[in-house]
Amino acid sequence: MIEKRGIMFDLERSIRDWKRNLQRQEAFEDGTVADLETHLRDSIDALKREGMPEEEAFHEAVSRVGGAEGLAGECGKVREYRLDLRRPWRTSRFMPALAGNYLKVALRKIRRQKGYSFINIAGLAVGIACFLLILTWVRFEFSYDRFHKNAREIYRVISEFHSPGGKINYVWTSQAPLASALKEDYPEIINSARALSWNWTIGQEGNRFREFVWVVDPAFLEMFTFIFIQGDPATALSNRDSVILTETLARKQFPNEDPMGKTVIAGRSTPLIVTGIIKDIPLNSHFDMDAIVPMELTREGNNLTEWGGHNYRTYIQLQKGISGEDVQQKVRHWGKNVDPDTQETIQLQPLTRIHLFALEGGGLIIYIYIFLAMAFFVLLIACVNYMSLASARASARAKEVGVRQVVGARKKQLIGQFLSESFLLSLIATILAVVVALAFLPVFRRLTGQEIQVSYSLETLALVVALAALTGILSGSYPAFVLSRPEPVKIFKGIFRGGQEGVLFRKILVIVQFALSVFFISGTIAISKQIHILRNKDLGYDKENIVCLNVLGGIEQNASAVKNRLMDNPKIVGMTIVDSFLDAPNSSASSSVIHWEGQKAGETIPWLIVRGVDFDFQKTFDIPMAAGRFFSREFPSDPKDGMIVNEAAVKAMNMDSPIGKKFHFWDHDGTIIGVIKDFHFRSLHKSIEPMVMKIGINLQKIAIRIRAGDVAATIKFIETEIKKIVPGYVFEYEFLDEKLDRLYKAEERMENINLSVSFLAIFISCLGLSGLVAYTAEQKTKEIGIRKVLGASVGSIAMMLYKDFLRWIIAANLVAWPLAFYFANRWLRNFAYRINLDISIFALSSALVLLIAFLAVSYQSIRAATAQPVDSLRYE
Amino acid sequence: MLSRTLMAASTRPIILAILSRGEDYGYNLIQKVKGFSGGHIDWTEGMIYPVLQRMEVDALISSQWKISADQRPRRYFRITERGREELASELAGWGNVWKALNHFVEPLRAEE
Repeated sequence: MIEKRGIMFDLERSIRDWKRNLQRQEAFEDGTVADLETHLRDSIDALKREGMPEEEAFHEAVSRVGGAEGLAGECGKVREYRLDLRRPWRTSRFMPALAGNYLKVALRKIRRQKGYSFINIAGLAVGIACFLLILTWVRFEFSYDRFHKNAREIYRVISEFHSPGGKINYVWTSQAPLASALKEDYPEIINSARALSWNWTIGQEGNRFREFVWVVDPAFLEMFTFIFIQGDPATALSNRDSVILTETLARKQFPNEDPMGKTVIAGRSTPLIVTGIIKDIPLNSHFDMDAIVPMELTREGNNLTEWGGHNYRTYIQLQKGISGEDVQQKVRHWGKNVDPDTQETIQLQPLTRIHLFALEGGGLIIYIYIFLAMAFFVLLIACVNYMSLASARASARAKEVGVRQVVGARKKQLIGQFLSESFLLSLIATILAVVVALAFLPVFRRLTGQEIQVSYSLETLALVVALAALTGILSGSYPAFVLSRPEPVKIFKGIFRGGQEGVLFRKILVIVQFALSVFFISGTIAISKQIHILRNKDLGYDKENIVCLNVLGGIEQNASAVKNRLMDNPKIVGMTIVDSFLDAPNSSASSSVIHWEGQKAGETIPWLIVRGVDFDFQKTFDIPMAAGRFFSREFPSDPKDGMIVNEAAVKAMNMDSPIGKKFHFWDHDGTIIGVIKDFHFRSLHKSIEPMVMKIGINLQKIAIRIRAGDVAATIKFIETEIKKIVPGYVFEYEFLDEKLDRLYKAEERMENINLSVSFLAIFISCLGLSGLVAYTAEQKTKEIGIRKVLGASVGSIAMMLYKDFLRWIIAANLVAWPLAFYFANRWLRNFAYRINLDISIFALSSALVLLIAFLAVSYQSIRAATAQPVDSLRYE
Repeated sequence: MLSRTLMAASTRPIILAILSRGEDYGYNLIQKVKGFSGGHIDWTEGMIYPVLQRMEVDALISSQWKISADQRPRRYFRITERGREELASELAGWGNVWKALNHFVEPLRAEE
């Protein structure tokens, strides 16, 4: 019987089991369970009274009460009338009362973990500041020419010269009559204007300087937006001798009087009457202008109806809403109206693209993309610090997470909490970053070589806030996910080992950081090597000690007198009058106007650079001849008949013995008397093109070669002597090598920015790395203690700590090399003359990064390794 | 047996009607309904509790815990003023339905 009792029905126990089953349903409130229990007992009692055995009565009662799930579902619905359809036993998604607590905890964490917070905030602030600066710059570059009210409708007319190889030479000037012809032929074009940009001496007697004077059609003032302080745009250019001054120039010329109606002298002796004052042209304009004069002024010197040369900047304005591309299709082959055989086509370049987009493709926009990417990467590196440190510290916060979960926090709430924490940090960092960015703006202006303006607008504020939010999300999302994951039971049982599961993730992050650093550094090295090549390449002549005078200003009539006087000074080696200096050629001829003796049918040179020189050019620049002779005063026919080509031209024309051959370009007929060795007459982005030289074409500049040593005195001498012969000469000079350096401004800027970005990248990466090392050391406190007790040396322990990190950094190098090679290679394609990308560049940058990283982790690891073992082992 | 819909519609008025006579607890409510209807109205017993809760949320009834003589905790429900109003309007409604039903059913019987 005793055995039977063992399996006998136990009512209380059955009821307890039944109740436990009910309690598993979270929808039941305790009261409901009590209700149901009483009900069940009443029911059983009643059934027993009817004579039913206890066990049967229990089952019957249970079935009458109904299944737990069904009841729970009904109970759940009872309070489900809230808008958010939240179950009553769930905590609400957002509890405003907790926000204060989140803030308190977040601030406490910042306060208690100073090192960690410093790394995060400093890293983020530097990253954001860098991003802000670059963003400011990008916005500035994009704002170019947009201040014109008609900016969207204005296009610049580009002439395209097609060479047989499919290469196109773009010229942003057109023939003089094109502007009005296009306007007449196409109703879509509602306005058009020509412009010439002259570097002209202008001002009152004794106060004259070279200024940028634009010679324009009156319609120019209608199309573009100039703010007139005085004068009327409609009539300002009506008279042939009128001039509009910018505010700055007006103040410079007429400091204490009203300039309107006053006379200034332009050029040698052209009197102009001031008819208008405009506000200075904003910096973000492709116009560089100090004064505007009417096109009428040039009527005598230039034939404005001639289709000959491409000398005029031509702007057109389309009707609002007309697509530029459609009009472009229509006007493309307009040139055939003038010359049915022409190879020339027309392109319409939107005004707003002029500054950023080069006609050949590329242009400044490439740099903008590159720098935007860099800015983003620096920001990413800073966010990575936050991510890796926060996930490494997951275990430190696990208890807090556990407690929050136990008192009802849901995963979403925890994610929200940690995200808002990263937002708080990124907000603090952003505020710091704004301060840093403003402080570094002058430095950044120097780096970019741009007078960047910050626009303090709502838009800017929105951008800054958006940036803070982006940073918050970028850096907070992963940690929030990791930190909210552990289950409370595991935490309190000590099973949860936060920081372990993110190891791979953190490895990847460190690799990404250092790969980017190596990438930037090798980029910087490649760029600076390339710039070194650009600066030091043999140009075919000696570029040092050449003084460039931009103006003839009356010297031409007295050229030999000036020359003789100057050559008396032994410090002066030579003087030559040229059409342009050797940084950029002035004129060129297209294939249709180039002919030579022995030219076969269908044989052409696509493009020929034309250089006007005098007899002393070769001597002054010291360029050797490849064949024949240079122009000489001993041959009276030279100025009229003599022509000299370079080796590239001989090659392009396929000539065997060029000397004595007839040559024709433009409307000049002559004979080739010599072949000059190839020399560079423009930036090294391009290779040496075919060139012809002729005496006396378009001479307007002076180059003087002096000897090194006491340069200032020599220049003073030049100035005095010139002024003795040509009184009133405006003496402004420059050195040729400085002019040449300016050709590589973009590259130099790239080098500067790249260098700074590399520095920031490695700095922030090392911040994060040292944080991680400190964390690892903290985790391994006991291991380190035991090792030390057992006799490990400081060195071996330090090595143990960063062996791991060094491995990741080496992995980062492997990732970075191919990427850096690819991009550096693409960049180098911009140059006709470029460095070889050899392994030394990458090896050097890797070594650099390794060294810096090594130093960064050394402090933390040595500190951990030198700690007293007794301190680390005292616990337990 | 009542249809599901009819049962759903009638539960609340019946509970209100019973409670209008005096306070009572869940088990007893069920017994009263069963006893009166002779088993025609057969509720899943546990289901009365969510309904009572809901009625309490809607302020038609109020409740109070009491320990009965057999030491079991019981929740006694009492009709509120609002509950009485609800009951009156339900009764009017049911009365109208009943009248309409009778009216439309009568003629058919007459023709038989």
